[in-house]
Amino acid sequence: MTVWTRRRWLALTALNALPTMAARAAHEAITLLASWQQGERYFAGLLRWDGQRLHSRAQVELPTRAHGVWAEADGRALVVARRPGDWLLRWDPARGHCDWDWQPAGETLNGHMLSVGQGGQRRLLTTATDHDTGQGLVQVRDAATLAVRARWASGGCDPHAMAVHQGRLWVANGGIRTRPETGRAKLDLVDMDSSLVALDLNDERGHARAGQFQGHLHGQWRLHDPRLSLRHIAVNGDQLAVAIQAQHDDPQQRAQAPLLALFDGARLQPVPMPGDPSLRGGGYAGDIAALGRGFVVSATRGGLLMHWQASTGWQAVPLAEVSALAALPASLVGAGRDRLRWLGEARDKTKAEGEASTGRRRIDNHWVVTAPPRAA
Amino acid sequence: MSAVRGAVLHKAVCIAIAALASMAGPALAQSDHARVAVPYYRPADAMQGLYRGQLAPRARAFEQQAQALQPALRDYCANTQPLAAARQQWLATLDAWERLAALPLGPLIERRSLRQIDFQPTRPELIIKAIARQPAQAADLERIGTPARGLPALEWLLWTRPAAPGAPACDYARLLADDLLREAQALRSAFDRAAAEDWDETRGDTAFAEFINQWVGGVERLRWVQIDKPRREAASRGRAPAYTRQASGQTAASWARQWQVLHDAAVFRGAAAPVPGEAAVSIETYLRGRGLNPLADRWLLQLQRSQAAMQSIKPGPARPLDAAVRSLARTKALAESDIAPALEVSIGFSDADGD
Repeated sequence: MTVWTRRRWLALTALNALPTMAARAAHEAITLLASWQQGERYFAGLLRWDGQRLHSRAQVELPTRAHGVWAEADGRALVVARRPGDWLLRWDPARGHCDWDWQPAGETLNGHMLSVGQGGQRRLLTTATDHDTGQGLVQVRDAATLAVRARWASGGCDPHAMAVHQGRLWVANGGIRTRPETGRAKLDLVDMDSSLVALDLNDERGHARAGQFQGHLHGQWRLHDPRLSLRHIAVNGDQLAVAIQAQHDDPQQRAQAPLLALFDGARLQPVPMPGDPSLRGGGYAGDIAALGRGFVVSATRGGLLMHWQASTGWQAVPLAEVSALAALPASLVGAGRDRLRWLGEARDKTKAEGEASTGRRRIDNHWVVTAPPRAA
Repeated sequence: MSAVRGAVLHKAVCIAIAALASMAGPALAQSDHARVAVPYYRPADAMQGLYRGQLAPRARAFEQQAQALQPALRDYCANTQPLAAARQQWLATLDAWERLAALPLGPLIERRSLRQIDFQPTRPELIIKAIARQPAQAADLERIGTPARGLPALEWLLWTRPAAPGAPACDYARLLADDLLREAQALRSAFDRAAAEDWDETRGDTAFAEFINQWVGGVERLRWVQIDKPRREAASRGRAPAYTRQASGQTAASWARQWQVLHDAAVFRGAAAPVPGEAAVSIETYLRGRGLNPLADRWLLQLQRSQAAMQSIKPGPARPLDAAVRSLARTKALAESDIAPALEVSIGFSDADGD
């Protein structure tokens, strides 16, 4: 449990009004696609925040805990099981219709998905693990049927989140080997091999040929410390950043580990954490999103929303067990253990508080802003 | 996975109570835990007791049954014994395997034994291809993937499409039985070694954390992978569920067997709390030994509910299966949210954790 000393509060509030929110945000309702736990049950759904309360607009019960969510342009939602996952759900909130895609034995889903391409060339990508080899995969799925049409090597093991940036697919290989048949036990942490990988989506002339995305390895980058697991990616203009989860055996080392790494086009480097021990993030970033000219990470174990910009360094506000982050044009909304909180850009000095209860929902690591459900 | 802490602080108390327990012997009735102290168990005590008292004997039993499977298949393939005899021995081997593997620990994880000899669902098309290649020895099997090997493949060859005596399929079944025996022998040897060794604090802490994690994983594998997922998958595809051990008619027996192993590891059965290090200690007993009686009572109550829900379930009517699935989910949630933290064990990638 974090102890909020006067010194710490001062340190936070002196950081240029980070606890503020976008003024409009408290008054304009937004809809979030999220997954959550309630008691021992799991759900995905559309949650509407009207500035005061979080309401469920539509929800579906899930068989196991979900991880990544993806809002499709037509109002449908994609939800993927947490690793080692064996289902992918396409859910139509307006009609309450569910299409389930079940993983074949021998492969498990790793919790994230991404849509690439447009129209008939659109493909859905999911990260997965091949049990026989332990190698990471990017499954290339038909966007209409969800059927897997191709598999690309992710260039490592335990691939997690992906992002498209500068025409390439970027994959965070977490580098932790697990054995899905025996649960989620982490294995061989001394041999961890986490990396950021760029795969070429298009051919050598930069063209995507009729949905035939390539998946060729373009480059691979690692941090010096092999116990830092790269897991989530965010893009902000021409910047690409990766959120980190530390796996050191020593709790002290883990607690002080960096939460963010930046890719400058040639090198991947960790961003040093603040010197103040009370502002260290606990070694675990649950999610990452772009804000202002930098990135926000959810320091779940540190109980902090941490915003980094090159010009200001780190700034932080408390939010117990913060996890999911959803980016808006000039702000973001983060979910904690039982509260959600808005975070505006520093230029917005409003004192309005952007907080609300999440009800009895424990929001999972990721949520996204989406459109309200359309009429059936 | 974090280590279990606190053992050092209680070492003196532990030694004193352990000595008392040794003197008291079987008279130390746990059922009367309100009046009679339950020994304080170090993680190393609990794990050494588990390996010595349960896992090593179960590994030996599995090896014995796998040994008996070889002649059973040889005789059937030579047409000197009926198919029923070979099937009977496969059932006995399955029983011994599931009693060992329902709570997969130590060598079972290190050797990836569940994947090696119990890949589910088996892949008939790969079995047919493997038979066509006519493998003759162990080295040939290495080029055949695990989905076409192990107990599920043997089940297919004994029930779904029984291998005729003298046919290449029967030779393949015998080769699979040899493979199974090699794994059983390796497991027996590894568990015997582990049981015979002295367990220091570090090893005990690590193994105890693995035990709690794998217990939770075992419940989830039973709840979701074996009971609930086949129903949901079938419903979404408009066809009948394909449960494990279905061809041999062992689905319900398999669920019951696995649950019994998990249940027995969770709650105390018998008359006296074990002497530290000499026999397996249930999670309930371990909690009581640390004075966590209110939590142990809640745990016991939830396990009793799950035990009731799991009674006599079988493939078929949805309502009892729904109740069993819900109850197992509650048990798992209690283990993750209350039991593991009380025992200072962190659940690897637990439901209290993200990704």
